[in-house]
Amino acid sequence: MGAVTADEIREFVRNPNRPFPEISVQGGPFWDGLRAGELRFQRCDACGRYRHPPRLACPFCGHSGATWSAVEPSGVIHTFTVVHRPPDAGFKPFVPYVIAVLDLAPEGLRLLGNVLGLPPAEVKIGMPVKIIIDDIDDELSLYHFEPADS
Amino acid sequence: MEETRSERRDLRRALKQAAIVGTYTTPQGNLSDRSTLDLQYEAIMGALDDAGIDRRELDGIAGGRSPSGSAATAYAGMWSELLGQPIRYADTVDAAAAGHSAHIVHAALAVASGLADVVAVIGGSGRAGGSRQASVLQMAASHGEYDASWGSIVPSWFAMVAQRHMHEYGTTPEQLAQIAVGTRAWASLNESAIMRGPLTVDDVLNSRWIAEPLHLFDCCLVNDGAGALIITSRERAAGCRHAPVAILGGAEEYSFRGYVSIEHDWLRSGAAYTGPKSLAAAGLSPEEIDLVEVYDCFTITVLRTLEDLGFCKRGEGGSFIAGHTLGPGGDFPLNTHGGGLSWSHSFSGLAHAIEATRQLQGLSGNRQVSQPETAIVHSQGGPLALHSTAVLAKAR
Repeated sequence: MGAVTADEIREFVRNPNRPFPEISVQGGPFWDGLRAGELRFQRCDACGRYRHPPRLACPFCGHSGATWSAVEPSGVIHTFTVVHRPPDAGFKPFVPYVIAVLDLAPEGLRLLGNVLGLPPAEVKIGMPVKIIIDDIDDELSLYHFEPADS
Repeated sequence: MEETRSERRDLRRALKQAAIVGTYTTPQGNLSDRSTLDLQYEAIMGALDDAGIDRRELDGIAGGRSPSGSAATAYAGMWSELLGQPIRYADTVDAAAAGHSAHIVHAALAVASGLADVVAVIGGSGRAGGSRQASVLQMAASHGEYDASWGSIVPSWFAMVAQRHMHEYGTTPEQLAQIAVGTRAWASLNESAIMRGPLTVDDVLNSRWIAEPLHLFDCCLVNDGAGALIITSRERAAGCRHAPVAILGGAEEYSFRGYVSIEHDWLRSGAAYTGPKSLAAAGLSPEEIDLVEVYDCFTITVLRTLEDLGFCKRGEGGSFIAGHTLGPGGDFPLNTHGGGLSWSHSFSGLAHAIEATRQLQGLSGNRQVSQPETAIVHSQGGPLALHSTAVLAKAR
């Protein structure tokens, strides 16, 4: 049940039938960051707060200037679900799988992804995880989460 | 504070000049031979007929959206062309299913201000010429830069709301199931409901997982169908076939885009504004509401919405549901047509307003609630991202 072993994780991550992101102009630097092996988010030049998904102005102070800044690749599970019926057929061979939203270290910053490396039944809110970047092909990198102690 | 109060008075005074006078719902189900336009056209004509208003009086359309997605569609003009008469008021709130209650309030204000005389508020869709999977993939493409690659979108977002609610407040799967059970009991009395068979809490809990902690019967239907209601002036309403229904208040809050933004408070939605605000405009408290018709894409949606509208405190939705009987004959009539969970989920939110109207008109047949005077109707879009509320009542 779920992608637990290293082989199973690799198969899940490299699944050629998962939908790939349609990368927007605004989101480009996020994906470029992953490609460079970093988790980068917009950080407001005025108030210093991080935001994701990217926006043209800071939702907290309204300032438009932002710098893409690398963040520690770890977080804590804010909430999650074990998906048994995926919205996209490409995930069918991999059910059940876990989707989680993480709280990252900068206040208010969150990230969504799959928790792999343990059986879905063992995933809990509050669990610390590390964020692992996966090179999918020559152009695209994605990421997944694994328990921090794995 | 004084200024706020006078604003509320103005909204209520304006709304009082309009009324809902007619409703119609098309067949609901798997209508692969019907187009969206075809179904909506049937709904408009049916609702005008129900009101006893000649189609030539129709001059406003609220709801629906461009079938092509192109900026050059001239959606409002398409209706003029189809109806063979000018449309002089058009309004589409592009906020998924959250637009419906907003359309009702906007249409009433349009009538009150003289922009239009007779407005059809419409919703629903058909599938002719396109597959449902195609529309899911389109949604993923438009929303999904930051989540589709991880197998997300609906219903996993609502499942994550439920998971967090259970974690924070101890809400149980049994409490969520009671919403599905109560709603099904209402649907069993509604001949046009898609799902009418008996349903127990155990049936819900034993149905297959969709996205934990949501089971199959925690989830709404996915189907085709359309509906419409007609709003006109109080003067014109006097000549209509059925008793007019007043719109006493309304409010909107669009908090985030939906299946994209994750930095919001997962346990406080825009309904925490739209509920109290629209009830204040109506001059009513939650206890004075006889009928509760809230958008129910998932059971958790209903539980969260009841909290935010003010029927119970945040976190107490589970015990509130456990402490009331939601089905026929109960003390808290909820989604009395059978909701999106069991009746139909083709124009959910507007369907809830149509049901509230019929109940207030005394036209609900064997599922008629005993002499309701007031109703709250809530529309929602995204994972509790987009909200509009309307308070309806028997016109006085």
